Amino acid sequence: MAAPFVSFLTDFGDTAPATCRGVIWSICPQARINDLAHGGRAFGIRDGAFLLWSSVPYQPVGVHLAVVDPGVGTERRSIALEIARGDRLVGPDNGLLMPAAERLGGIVAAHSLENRALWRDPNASRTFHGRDIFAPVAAHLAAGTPIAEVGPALDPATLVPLGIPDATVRGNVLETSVLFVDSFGNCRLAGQPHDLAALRGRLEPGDRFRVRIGSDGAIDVPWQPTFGAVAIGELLLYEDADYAGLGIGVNQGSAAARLGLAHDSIVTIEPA
Amino acid sequence: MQPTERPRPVIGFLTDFGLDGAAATCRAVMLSICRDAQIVDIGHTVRKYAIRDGAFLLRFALPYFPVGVHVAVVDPGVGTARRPIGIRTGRGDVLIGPDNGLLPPPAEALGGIAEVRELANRRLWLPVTTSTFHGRDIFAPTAGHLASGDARFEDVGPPVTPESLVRLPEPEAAAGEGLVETVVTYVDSFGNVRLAGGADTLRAAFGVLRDGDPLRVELGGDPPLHEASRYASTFGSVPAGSSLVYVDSLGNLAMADNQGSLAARLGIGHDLSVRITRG
Repeated sequence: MAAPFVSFLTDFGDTAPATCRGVIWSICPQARINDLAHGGRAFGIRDGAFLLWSSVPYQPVGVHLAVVDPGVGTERRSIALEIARGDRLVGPDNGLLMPAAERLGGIVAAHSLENRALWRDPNASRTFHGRDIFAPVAAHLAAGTPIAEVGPALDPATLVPLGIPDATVRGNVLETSVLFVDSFGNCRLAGQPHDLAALRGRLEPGDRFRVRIGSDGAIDVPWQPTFGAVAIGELLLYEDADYAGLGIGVNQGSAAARLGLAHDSIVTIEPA
Repeated sequence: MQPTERPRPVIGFLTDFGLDGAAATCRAVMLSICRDAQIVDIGHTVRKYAIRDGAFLLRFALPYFPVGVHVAVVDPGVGTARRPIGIRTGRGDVLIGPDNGLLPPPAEALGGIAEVRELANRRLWLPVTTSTFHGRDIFAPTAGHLASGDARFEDVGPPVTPESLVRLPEPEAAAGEGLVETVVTYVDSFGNVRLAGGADTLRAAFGVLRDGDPLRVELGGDPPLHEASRYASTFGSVPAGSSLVYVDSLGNLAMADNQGSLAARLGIGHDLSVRITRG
């Protein structure tokens, strides 16, 4: 039988994730842990949710542990979700897990992590539930503990929702916004290539668009399949394979720096 | 471990993807195909698009790895006509990545290039491939199949001649009587600066150097920076904050500040020319 798989995402930075990995291996030594990201740059719940959403289809079926948890130690619930594909998601009930759960086929069952026997210590700290509650429960699930044992069932309708913003087509204008800026400075925009195609009834390499950032003047940008299709330093609109949707980038440069783009920057696109 | 048990396959993995999860997605693809793989992340914060930095780091790390399948992706030409390739090394490793100069330097450090193949067998790729993420769609799954043993190197695609591989220009050092002319090849996270050339370059110019022998270093031109330095065998041989010229753990000529960043202090970047004379 294949070793249990645990993916692991936090905003903890460098060393706290290692403490959590130690807890996981103490309970489930055979677990294969894949660190998705630990906040190489500071990120919020939506960034965590977006990274998890973009990555889970490529993860093997397993336990996905995610902790971006500004509400740690407050009334916010700790949850485990069973997903249609067979995965279990573990983390805080703050929306972080919801887009990934949706992408893997939807929630089959939700439970509140109240069984202290599965915690690392029944007297968990108030500020490090990653170590004390989430990691040990994830490890027990990876080791084969049924999800019903983690605590009472919850009505999935009561879970805190979180949506990833979408794009809107108005006439021949696509209204979108920056969802995520990656370490290259490539910007993932809300929406999909078919939204761009809808503007002109087709979408071919070399098709040109007028892109406006906020109230700035329009820039002429081509649609291209990959970065090397434009000269070094030139902008392109493309299908962002990493983050599954529309992207704007610069060949061997940073679109974020060039255009002054940050999360939630408003971008409008129309055929040139 | 049972004596009959196969050791877990080791996959070395290096990219310039950063820490946003793209490398993790590739690891997930490898683990989906080969759950037993021990993936060792060499680094994912390679300077963006810096093929030579990637090649340097691979050459630095891979000789210390067990023989395995190793994946490297610094690939500004992703999705263009550049070929995806696999190189079998003299030692028995397989290196997987783009044909842009990244893989030949580490292959030379692993017993040389024994065989090269173009990755063309789509049965070893993800079912859907994109033009901007071959790390996930082509390199990682091919490496996963090779590591798991369900594909052999011959299965990845047709052979290509090693002579047809893209090679990076190799920066060179020149040694004259009392003079080394060289160039910055790599700046590490400590701010230590690697230079073209090695111990033999220093010996050819200066004979036998002893710890503390003064050297004068001229960096760049127009006008050059002058640094009064000295030869030393290790950092602690000079006072904290002082510079030294040394030979690094791989035999490369190098310069550093003891407990400081020489690169930051002097504003040293890649490809800067360097002249070393007696101080």
